[in-house]
Amino acid sequence: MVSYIVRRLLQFIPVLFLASIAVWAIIYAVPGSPATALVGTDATPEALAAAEQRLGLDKPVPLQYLQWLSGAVVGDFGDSAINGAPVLGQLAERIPASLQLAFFSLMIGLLLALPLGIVSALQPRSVLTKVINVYQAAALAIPTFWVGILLIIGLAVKRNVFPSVSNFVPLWVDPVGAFRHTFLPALCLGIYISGIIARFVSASLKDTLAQDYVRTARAKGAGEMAIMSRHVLRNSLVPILTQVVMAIPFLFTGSLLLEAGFGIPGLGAVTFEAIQANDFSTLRAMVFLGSLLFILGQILTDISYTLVDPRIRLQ
Amino acid sequence: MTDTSLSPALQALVSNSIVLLLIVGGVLGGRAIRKNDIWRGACSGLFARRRLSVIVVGLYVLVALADSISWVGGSAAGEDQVAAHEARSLIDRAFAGTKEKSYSAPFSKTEFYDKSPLRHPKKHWFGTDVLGLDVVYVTLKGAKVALLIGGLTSLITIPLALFFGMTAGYFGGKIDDAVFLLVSILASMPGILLLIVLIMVMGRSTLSVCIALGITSWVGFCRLSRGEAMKLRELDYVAAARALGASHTKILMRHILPNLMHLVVITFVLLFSSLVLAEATLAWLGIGVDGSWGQMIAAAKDELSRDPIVWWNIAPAGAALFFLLLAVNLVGDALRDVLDPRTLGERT
Amino acid sequence: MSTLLELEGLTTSFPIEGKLVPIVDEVSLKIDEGKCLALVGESGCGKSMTALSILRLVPRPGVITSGEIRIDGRNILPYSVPQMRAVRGDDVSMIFQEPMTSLNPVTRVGDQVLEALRLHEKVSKKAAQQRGVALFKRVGIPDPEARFRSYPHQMSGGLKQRVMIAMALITKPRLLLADEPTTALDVTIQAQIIELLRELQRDFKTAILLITHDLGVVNQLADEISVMYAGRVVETGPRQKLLGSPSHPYTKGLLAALPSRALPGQPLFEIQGTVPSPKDWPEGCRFRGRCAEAREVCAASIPRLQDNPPGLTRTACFAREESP
Repeated sequence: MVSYIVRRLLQFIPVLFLASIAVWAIIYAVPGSPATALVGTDATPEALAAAEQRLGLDKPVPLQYLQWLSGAVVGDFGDSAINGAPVLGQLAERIPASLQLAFFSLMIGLLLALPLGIVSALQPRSVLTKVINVYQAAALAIPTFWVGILLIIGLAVKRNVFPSVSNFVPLWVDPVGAFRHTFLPALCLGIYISGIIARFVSASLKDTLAQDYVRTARAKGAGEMAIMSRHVLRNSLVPILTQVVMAIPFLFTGSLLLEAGFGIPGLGAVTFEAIQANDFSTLRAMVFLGSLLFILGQILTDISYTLVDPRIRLQ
Repeated sequence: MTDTSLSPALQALVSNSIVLLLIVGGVLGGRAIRKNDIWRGACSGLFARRRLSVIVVGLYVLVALADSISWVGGSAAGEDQVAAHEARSLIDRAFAGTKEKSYSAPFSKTEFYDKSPLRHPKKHWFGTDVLGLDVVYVTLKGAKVALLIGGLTSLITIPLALFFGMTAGYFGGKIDDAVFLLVSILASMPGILLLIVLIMVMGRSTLSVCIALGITSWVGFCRLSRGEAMKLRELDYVAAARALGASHTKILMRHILPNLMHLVVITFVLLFSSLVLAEATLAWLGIGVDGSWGQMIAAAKDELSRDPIVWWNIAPAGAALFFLLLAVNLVGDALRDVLDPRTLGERT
Repeated sequence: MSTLLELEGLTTSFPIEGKLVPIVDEVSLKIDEGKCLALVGESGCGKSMTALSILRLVPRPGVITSGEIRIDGRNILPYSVPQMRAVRGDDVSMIFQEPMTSLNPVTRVGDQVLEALRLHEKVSKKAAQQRGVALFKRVGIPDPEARFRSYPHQMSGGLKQRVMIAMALITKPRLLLADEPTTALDVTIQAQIIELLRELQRDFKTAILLITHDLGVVNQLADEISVMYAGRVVETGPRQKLLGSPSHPYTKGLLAALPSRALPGQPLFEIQGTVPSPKDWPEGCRFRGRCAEAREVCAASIPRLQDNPPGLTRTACFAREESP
């Protein structure tokens, strides 16, 4: 199995490499220079040129890329144009907040999706399932940040149940406070995710329930509970797992507006600021990290497959 | 369409031709469906399950078409001179001359802030926005924009993804590796970020936004069609066709492609709603398409913090978007059930 | 010799285009203890559904609409679900056609076999394991201890079918429903499995309802044969009598179509026409569209099983009633 993982890692190195080039090239093509962040938009041409030289922007493009790449592999992504601090350090500071948000969102998403998916798979023709179908469609019909705004107005501003501007309260410092601050944004993301995952849970369960070996189990006299736990769940896990793992990078990077709207100091918020300030170093680092996360997610999914399905393990 | 300087007459011509094309396409498509047992069964299955949603989508389409049939000239009383020279659609004309000075509440008789009497008291069902335009009018115009975002982009995305996915899955080998590489690179970049950066590069016209949305969303369907093509390639009738000497192109066109069409339909519908949602995000960041519901809400977000709250121009836009996407999603789900290959042949 | 299983007028229907169509139509049959009844017919004639009906495993939207299923004289049709579960796998076991997909791919085969045992008997894990391995040996699985811990994908089709047989027999059921047990296997393996079933039937005294379309298998295992067509039993009787002197036109056609019965130089016999789908079943006798002896009365009503000709087999055919 170790060789399998190593092989997968090696497969992804060219992807990472090419992705970094693509990232770099695209951001390079954005009009406007990162130097303006340093000297302001109405600086003299000389000041601009001087700033550019300081940022190393006057060197030939491939050289700039190589410089960046050599820094990137050791974790040096340059300094943020906004406040001059090293990018990696800044991003690292924000990770716990995003991690907490992602964790809570995933929990809420799964807590919603699993029962909904199970019910609609076991009772496909009931009224409850029809309601669930409409819920799934509705969950994917509103942008998450709109839900956020409605929740803020409804619950935070008018009624002060939850704070309207969330701060990052780490879970291990103050669990209740962490819950209060993270619940609303996590709910927004969680609802969206549940809309996607519930469908996969339902489809996967239905597929498994239709398999011949479930019929064999029934013919042996096994009860429904036994069938679910021993035969159905493990076999349904694979597609569900794929979806859950694929959702994780989305949780980190797609929560851009949500974090900004709720005031959570996470990776999404810092990206948002970087976009507005033309902070290319940060943007490049974020996209690079995003790719890294995605690839790690793929590998994690593969590993989890091998744990669940012995056919893969013993290849 | 591209917001650049096409003359009004030309704009009208383009709009009207597209409407004509769509209607003709719809009629021809309808006939083709009626002849084909499987698709006809699928359609009737769809109507049986989600009649309301299909009707709702149809209504939106009608509104969008009404907003696309336009011509230059003619002027209503009280209309300013500029308007007479622009290409104005049916909807524009229906609401011609209803412009007020600024905000007014629904069914109100007076302006919101200075309380001066409206030109058309009690006529504005949802009041007027900051420019004095009737909110119902602006909301209706958003339908065409939404359908454009979803429809045009899908039109770009799906053939692209289909081509790459089909060839990768069918031919395998080096082609598959190359496509896999491309797909991985794109898929690994965080979607929203890539989207924003692309728009910063390409500019903010409707076409650029559609292209950017297309680039960031073709990967999903590419993977799907690749998987299906790989499965189809192994089927006996493909081997039989090859044994009879059919060329690869012929096999792709006659055996693989038709068996992917059901996925195309489902993906088209489901992609539609994620595209519209993505545009709403872009609008919130200020780089959306002009006139979209997302932009209406983004422009109005400050009003929510005023006292009293100005809610009447956000609500219709939000509701319009929500109900369109809800209906589209429900139709997409029903299509998925109806076009399931396992049940496809059973309905005839 | 007492009657173990008796089906009387069993009807299982499916809704097709709005109507309830009896896929199993008033089927009656009887199996004595320790005997083997072969249920023979082409694909789609309802034989598999009959077996599934016995265990009340009819897939949705099918439903058993009438009749009685009697085991040891007790009608089990009104049984509640928990009562049925006690019957399944214990009194009546079933093996299926596709050993490839009938085993859970992520569980070891030994565990799956033991599941059958421990659902119905209180046995310690160790004792159960011993019995399982012993049974593996008995059904001819080489290296039984190692195989006990294997996963399905590590075994061939023939081995998997032996596992299925072990799984079905570990509780020493009185009746085994075998749905096309050899159809998906190679011919050489088929012979081994049939031989195995014969031995086991002898040793365990298990009655078998053998469902198949393979007359060769029937010849080797069956004591009695019932022929089904379009949901109905058209002829039934002892093996030698039915195979030697078939009475119903359909049975005659089936046997005449056997390549071994063809005369050299002559074209192979075939029954004209094709099996109608349930949507298109005609009024009256469903075989009349393909029957050389069809007459007017055949269109008017459905023939019932009668003792004609007397002394041989029971046949459902108006032509035989007139002139046995």
